Amino acid sequence: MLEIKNLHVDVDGKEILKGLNLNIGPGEVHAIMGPNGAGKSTLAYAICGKEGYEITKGSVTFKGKDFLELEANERAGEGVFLGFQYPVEIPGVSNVNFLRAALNSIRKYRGEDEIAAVEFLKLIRAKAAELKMDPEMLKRAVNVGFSGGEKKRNEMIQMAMLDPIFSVLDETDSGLDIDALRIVADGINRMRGDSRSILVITHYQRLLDYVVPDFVHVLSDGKIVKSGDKSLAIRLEKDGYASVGIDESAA
Amino acid sequence: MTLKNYFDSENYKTNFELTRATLPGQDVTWLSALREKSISKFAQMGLPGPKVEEWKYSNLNVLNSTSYETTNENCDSDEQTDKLLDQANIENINGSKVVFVDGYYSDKLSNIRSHNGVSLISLRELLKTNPGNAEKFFKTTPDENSLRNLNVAFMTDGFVLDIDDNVKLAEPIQVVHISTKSSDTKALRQNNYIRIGARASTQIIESFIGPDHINSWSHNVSKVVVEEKASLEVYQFQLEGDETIHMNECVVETATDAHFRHYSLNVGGKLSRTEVKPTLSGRHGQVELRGAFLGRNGNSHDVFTHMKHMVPQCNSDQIYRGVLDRGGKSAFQGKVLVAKDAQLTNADQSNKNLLLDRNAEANSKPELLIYADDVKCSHGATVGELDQEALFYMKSRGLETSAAKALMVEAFVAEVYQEIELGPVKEKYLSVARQWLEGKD
Amino acid sequence: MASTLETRQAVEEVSGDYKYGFVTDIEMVKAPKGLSEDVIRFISAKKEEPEWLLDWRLKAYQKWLKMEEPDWALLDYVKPDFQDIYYYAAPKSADDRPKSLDEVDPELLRTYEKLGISLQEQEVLSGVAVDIVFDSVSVATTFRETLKKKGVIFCSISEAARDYPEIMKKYLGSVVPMADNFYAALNSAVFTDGTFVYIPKGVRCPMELSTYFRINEANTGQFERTLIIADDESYVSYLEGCTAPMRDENQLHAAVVELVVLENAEIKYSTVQNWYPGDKDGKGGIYNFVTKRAACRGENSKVSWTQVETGSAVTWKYPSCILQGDGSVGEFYSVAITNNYQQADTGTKMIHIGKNTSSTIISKGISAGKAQNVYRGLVKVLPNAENTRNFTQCDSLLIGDECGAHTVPYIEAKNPTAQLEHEATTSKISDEQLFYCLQRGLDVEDSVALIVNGFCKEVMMQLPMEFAVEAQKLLGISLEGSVG
Repeated sequence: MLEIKNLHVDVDGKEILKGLNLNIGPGEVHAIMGPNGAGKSTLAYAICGKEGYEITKGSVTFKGKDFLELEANERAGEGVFLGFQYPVEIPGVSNVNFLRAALNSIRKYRGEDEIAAVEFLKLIRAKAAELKMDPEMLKRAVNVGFSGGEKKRNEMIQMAMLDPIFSVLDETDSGLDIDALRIVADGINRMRGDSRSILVITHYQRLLDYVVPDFVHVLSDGKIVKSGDKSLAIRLEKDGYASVGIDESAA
Repeated sequence: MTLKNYFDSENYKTNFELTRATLPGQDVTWLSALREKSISKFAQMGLPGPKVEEWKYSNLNVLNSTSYETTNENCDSDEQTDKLLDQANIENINGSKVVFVDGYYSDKLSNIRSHNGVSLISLRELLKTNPGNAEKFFKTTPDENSLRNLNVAFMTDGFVLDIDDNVKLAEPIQVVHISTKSSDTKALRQNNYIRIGARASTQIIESFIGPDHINSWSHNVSKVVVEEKASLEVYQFQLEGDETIHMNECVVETATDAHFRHYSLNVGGKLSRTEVKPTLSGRHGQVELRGAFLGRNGNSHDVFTHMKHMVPQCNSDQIYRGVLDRGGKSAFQGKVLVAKDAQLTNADQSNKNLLLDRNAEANSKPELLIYADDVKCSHGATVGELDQEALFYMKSRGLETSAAKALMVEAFVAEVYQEIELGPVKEKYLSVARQWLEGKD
Repeated sequence: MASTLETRQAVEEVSGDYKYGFVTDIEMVKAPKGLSEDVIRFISAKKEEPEWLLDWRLKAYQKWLKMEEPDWALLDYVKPDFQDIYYYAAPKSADDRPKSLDEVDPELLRTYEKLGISLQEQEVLSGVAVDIVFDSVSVATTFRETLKKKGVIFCSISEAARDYPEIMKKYLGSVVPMADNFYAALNSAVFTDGTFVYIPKGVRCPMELSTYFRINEANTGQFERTLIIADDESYVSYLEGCTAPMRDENQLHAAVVELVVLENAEIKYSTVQNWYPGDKDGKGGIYNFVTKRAACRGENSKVSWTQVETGSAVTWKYPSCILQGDGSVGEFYSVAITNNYQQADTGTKMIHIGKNTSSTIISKGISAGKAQNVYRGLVKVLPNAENTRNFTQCDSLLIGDECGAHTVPYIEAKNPTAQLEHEATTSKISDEQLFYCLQRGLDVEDSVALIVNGFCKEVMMQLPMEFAVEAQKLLGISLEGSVG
């Protein structure tokens, strides 16, 4: 589904990713772990096409398409969703309006008709209920005045509504208490399926107790230095990054 | 001929012709020429009327009934000056002291301590000993500021402070401007120059003081340059008598990583006008302006600030508080300009005013002019009376109304000065404010 | 809401270029170019005005001659040549006024259809009575019968001068004196038409009243005059919206709007202004120099100004409230968008005279391209205005680094019981916000429109339904090409 080859990315003239390779097949859940500053968020932004993340070398292919040719919104249209580490506030724009605009834009990209208002409202209420989200929150402005946990839950409802085939979740677990973590994990697990893939980016192993990955990769200094299965994450948690030969303080 | 909305001021030109020979530095060619050009320019422009936006709230008609000839040198210190000096005194401050009486440096009352790398001299002295050195402080052509031109044409003295690179003065420099009874119907005009060298730092305490019932015009213009990584703090006390016209313009330029801080307190005068105009021309410059104005019985206080962010990544912050009692009037005009490309600017401004009486007036015009997009700028302005809830709360705890009010007003004013690290100066600000509050009838 | 739907569809067709840039081909009857007493007499005669009104105009003209065009606003433009303007232009068919829509010049009707305003549609479906000013002369008034039953007078101002001289004499120029300012004086001398509304005591106007203005003939200044009187205990909501065809020469528009609000009455006045702003290089566009003022004369009277200003090359406009009646309320909600080379200097004045008066000012300025956007507002409390309240919030949004956003508030208080609060902030659309929207699938233009609409929400909420959708779309359209 997603194929990243020898990816080099510069931010503000500084090379952050230095030849990263990653293959994610349909139905697979991959986790990327790594110390602070390893380039985890950079990878997420580069996949999703944020400005200022300059690809100097390498390729990103999504379902056989050259992804680097596409604008950020076109990548979303192709079915890629990014769960932000720090979800952005948009004052004055209600969650409902935002999601409807987003959903219709994606449908338009795919040459589909706009969703009918009634159908949309039914759908969003159902998704909110699944994620145990107070429907009142849908009326509030996007992420404005939300607590950390509410923001992350809001990301989950957006993911559920936009129904992506590939999700990148950037430190979605950070700053969550255990109850919120379970809800978020539940949201992610709902997205699992044979034709859908997920890339979980995290600093800690604890989310992976709930969202069990098929593959675990360790990112350090802009490259994947080690890959393995779930047990790798457990080892990292127990013995630290030093156990796989990474000096965390230097990163 | 005068400019549109400016009013005629021919008499100053006549005054100039009569007094020019007695003004300091009359034998210095560049200065004579500059004075000449300045008075001509002033005569062409005239005095700004209330339709000139920057003078909207200051009625300069008060200047019309008096000719304001230049003061004469008044060398004798007497009981009067001693008393005024005493009033202006700040305990436990022991640095150099520069005293001006009626616009002239008084050697007798001053006490300049020599310090390596610090040159502190009166303008008149400098014009005598090294006039060429003074020339660089002035523009060769008069600018479009009519009052500044008037000041240059008639200036009698001033101080020149030049601090070399890396010199950090531990003791603040005190400057006291006294206007005596002899200055009645006259104008005191001084022009000062301050340069703080790279990485140098100092503090200046400047007081303006004079007795009541003296219709003098105390008119100061200062040019300040704060070089790279240098720091300057200026603490002003305007304590002149009830009939005095006070004007003080402070034009500042800050370089990269420079820090400028300006405090003021206005409590006296028929009309006081405090202008602070910092230009941030080096990155990471920081400017803080703080002031309070307390007015009653015909005091009219006018604070005018113009903050110019010319380069990226500078911070400025302004806090001004006004308290207006019976017969008091105030205007705060604060302009913040963020030039094109001055990205990542942070500029804040706050002006709050308390009206204590029906016959009091507060005006506020906080202005933002922004030509760069990646900036954080905000301003807030309020006018109101004391919080009635809080007042009731205090009364219910047994305080008398007047005591409760005084406490609240004091707290309102104290907010301006809370960050001052120089203890005696902070205490002086608070005690002057307290005295003003107690003087309430 | 068929009309809303229709408007939306109309707006959706717009794709970047100014949609309404066409010129209707109708033969005009013009007064000679330039301004003189003769031209004023010509206008007055064309309108079959009573003698007193002609005298009033001539007096205003004499005053105007002695006045100077104001230059205190932060605006930079070529001053109009007042002798190079036609002061009167009317469609020929106006001499024979249509009694119903069937009699209206089909060419005109087609124009309105192109604009997305179908009279029949509006008449039947939306419940909005429309008094259309097409180049100065009103040619069709609908719903008059319904209104008549309630005693509401809704007609052109020239008709009012003929039919209701007593009310006109009493109120014309009573809020905006004839020589109030340069442009108001000019308007007083040459106003060609406009709207007159009178809501009698105790009447809630059964529908929203609306006027679409349109400037058409080249070099035709448009000088509307609007007078609305809400008598005791009455209420009216009035909508004003405008579009104009594309022209290279700058066209002058100097309108005057006077509102009189009596005891316990309320007027809600909403404007969407999207006149031709000039092209991307700043060529052409309308000069919009407007004097709008409301007098809250009665106790507990209320005026609410809501404006969405997206058009015009130069805007000079300060809808104001004189809060004279005790307990009266003034509100000003404004969105001003400037893009490319547009300039706007707009805001309000709240003059507190009566006791317990209160005012609210919410201003949202958005500046993009090379545009300059100024909020200028005065809050003034006179000595006898006890317990007044004002809250002012001015927010500016900058898009791009070549534009300017400026805030110039004046706060003047002469009464110690006043509580006045002013806050202003400046921000930009952050890269993070933009990327967040893009990542959710929205394209750049939709993202900007969405964020800007959110920024303006408090103001947009004040708009009547009829305008809200169109206005929301307009925000996006006005900012097209400003990002990315």
